[in-house]
Amino acid sequence: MNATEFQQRIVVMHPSMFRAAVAILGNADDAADAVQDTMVKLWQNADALDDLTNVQAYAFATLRNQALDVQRRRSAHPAVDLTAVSDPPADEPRSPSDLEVIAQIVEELPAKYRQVTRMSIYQNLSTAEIASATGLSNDNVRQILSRSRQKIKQLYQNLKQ
Amino acid sequence: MNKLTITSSAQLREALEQFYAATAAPEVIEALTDYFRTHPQLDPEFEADRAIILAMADAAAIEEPADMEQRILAATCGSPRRAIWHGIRLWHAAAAAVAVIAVAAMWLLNSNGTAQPVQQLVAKVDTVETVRQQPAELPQAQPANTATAPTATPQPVDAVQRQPAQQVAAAQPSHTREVTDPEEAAQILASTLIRARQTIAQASQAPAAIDPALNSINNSLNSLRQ
Repeated sequence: MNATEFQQRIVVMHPSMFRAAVAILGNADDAADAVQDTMVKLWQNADALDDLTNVQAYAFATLRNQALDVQRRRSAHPAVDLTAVSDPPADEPRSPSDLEVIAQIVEELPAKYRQVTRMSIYQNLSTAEIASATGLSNDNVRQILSRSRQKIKQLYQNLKQ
Repeated sequence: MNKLTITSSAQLREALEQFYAATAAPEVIEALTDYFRTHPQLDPEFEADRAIILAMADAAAIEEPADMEQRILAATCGSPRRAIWHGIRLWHAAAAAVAVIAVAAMWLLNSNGTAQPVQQLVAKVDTVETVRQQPAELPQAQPANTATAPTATPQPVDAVQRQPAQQVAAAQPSHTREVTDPEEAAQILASTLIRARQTIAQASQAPAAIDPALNSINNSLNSLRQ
């Protein structure tokens, strides 16, 4: 994949990738770094991207791994904000937002469900648009989205109990 | 068009039913979002629904930094230097391998004619071609310090014809023989370098061929080290 193709097929995904990264990490700065690092990794591996049948899914999988790395580093070395004296102590874990919880649940869904749900949430695509992008039928996309949402609700309730 | 508003539990349940069936129109999802934002005190049975709907709305509303695309382009394909580097890096390994062989060749040529045995175990394809050219003259293994007349002068790849592998195997069971003549060693090395150059030139037409080219060069290098 040359520079022009990379720009047209991969770089254009940065808004939805950024939203996904924020949802996973809960922090815009970390999300921007994660997206940039992901793009660099994809570019370094650009020759192999031509052989992939689903570049978008691969790009999001790379982003997910990058975001999880950031999370691991963050939990191993928690940052302390010296200006926020009224905040809770640094060793008190921050409770994740609902968006972060939902994003984590989405990442645990089976591949096809995860892809369709990501498109719905982070790219705000309609059923028809998702069907066009994935090659699935409208009914199939609707069925997958339906099952995904019910599964997310069930897992969220399990986590909160 | 009037904005859809949820005013009762029945409407809420109906809208949620559409949402989980993935049949809700965008305005229904918008009405659900508005309802959950303006009704913080709700029956606990709707807690999960609220979390999911508002998380989706929050995700859709996330704005990325204005310079995000410039940052990405600068770090990847937008930088001319990085793009050029990306284009040439495929050839780094091949160029390095050729350089190593050239150094090895110079080292051997500077040995002043000393009877220094060189193990000829060049890439299989090279040996196969040499064997095919003069199968009758293939020498048996000789002592390292024995002067040996040149047996086969390697020729460019284009000048030779391919031969079935079985026929070659019958002519010479091993791909190894010893060469004690420095001139012959130099000829063999020159031939190997020519073949490496040709193989890499072919690889430039088909990047998938780079691995066979590197394997050929590495085999040659290993044999020279022995």
